[in-house]
Amino acid sequence: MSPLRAIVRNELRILRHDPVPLVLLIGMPIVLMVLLSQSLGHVLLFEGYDDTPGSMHTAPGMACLFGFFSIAIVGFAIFREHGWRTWPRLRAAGVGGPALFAGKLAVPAGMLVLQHAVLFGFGVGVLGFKVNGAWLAVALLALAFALMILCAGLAAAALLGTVQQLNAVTNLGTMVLGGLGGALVPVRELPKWVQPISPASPVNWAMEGYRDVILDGAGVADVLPSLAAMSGLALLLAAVALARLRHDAPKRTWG
Amino acid sequence: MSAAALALTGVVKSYGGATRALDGVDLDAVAGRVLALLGPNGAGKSTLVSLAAGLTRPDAGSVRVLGEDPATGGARVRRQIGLAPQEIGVYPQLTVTTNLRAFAELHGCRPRAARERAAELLEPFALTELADRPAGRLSGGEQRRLHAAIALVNRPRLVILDEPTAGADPSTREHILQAVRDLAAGGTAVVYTTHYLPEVERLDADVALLERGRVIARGSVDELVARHAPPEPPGAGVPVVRPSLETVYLALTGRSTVEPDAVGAP
Repeated sequence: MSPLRAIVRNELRILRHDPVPLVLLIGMPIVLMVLLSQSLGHVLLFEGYDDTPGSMHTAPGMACLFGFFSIAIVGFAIFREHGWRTWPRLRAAGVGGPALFAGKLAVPAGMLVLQHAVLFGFGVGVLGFKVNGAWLAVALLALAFALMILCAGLAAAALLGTVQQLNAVTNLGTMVLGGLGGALVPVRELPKWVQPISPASPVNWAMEGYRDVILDGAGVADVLPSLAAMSGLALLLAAVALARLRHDAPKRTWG
Repeated sequence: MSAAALALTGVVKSYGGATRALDGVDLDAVAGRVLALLGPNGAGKSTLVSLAAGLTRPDAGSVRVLGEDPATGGARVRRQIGLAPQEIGVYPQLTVTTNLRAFAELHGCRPRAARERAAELLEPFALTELADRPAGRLSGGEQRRLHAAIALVNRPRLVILDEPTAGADPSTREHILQAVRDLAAGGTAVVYTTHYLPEVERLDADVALLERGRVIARGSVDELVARHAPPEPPGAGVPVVRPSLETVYLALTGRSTVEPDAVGAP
């Protein structure tokens, strides 16, 4: 069996024995979509979108916000091997860096795809969500967003030395960048002084693209700036991860 | 003389440029024998283990496992090595059997072969009754046995056990010692670090005594005793007691074997 396949199989085993992260990443945003969609419908009406269900903001908003939590999932997939003292065994087994890190990304990648599919599907089936523009653009935005998240997870694992740092940075970062980027409420509803700095959040890039397609009927060509920004950041983060990820770098966990 | 499964030649390894963990070590381990690495804490045993397993590279000198550099030789040579590091490394939520299967697959086994190999390893390590129990719910001794069994999933030709009986109860210790004897009898080269000198005598191991990164004594237990044991003090009527490896160790290092990480030693 190839090392990559063995790593992926093992990650799936671990997920099967402890599916709580996946359940939370999908269940919690659904709950919030249900709770917030009516209010967001009023907000969208205030913004000039008549007869528009709030899920047309909450579905992409929750996908972005809870997608960001996957940065911690990727980072933790690496940190926990140190905590369980299995990291030296993986290395001694001859699992090379590329296979090891690719294997660690594969399951979170699948979780992100599943998360987006379930949230948009729930929106369509239950909350009246629809896309006024091209579904292909939505799919491309989701892929670029997922790529950015996965690379951010690797970079976090490379740059952070302790699991406490990973928890703090990813959880706090998700809430701050998610709120700043317009995942909870549209940017135009944020305080005036916050609105100019909203584009500093990568969540903003995704949300602007999603809103252009979902609310304003945009197509693939219209969201190229969002796609380029997210893909560019993904490349930058991947470069950082490649430069800093070391097989033998010590990581402090709970042990 | 068998060909060396592990050969270190002039190995030097430093950390941070200041601390020289290994300082010109020449050593080999041959098929069918146990090489016991002894020495006080900080002598360089774990560094030597890391080098032998290909987890780190020497600053100078060469490390060869079956003729290849384990650090650069890739999966082919790594799969000839079985490593049980000093700290127990298992997946706590996976069962005993699944842990064994997972590591067999990581060593390249197909799923069916991995399942068969896992089943083979249960009995020698007294894990049959625990096969379906999550590793995190095993006692320390049971985890220690699983940890040692994982080192054998790939049928390695060189097995490296770094303090495999540290903190283990007598039953666990006996299972592990028997497994080591069986491995050597089957032609495997075993590198075994420990602070428990009676184990070394029971394994009939070749001994390398490390002190401050150097090998200061090498040979069988009998050879070391003959060469280095201090003379018995003269005394009429005192019964003659054969000097042990412990007396040699004390004579050469000036230290007791009971060190902070060896608490619980028999």
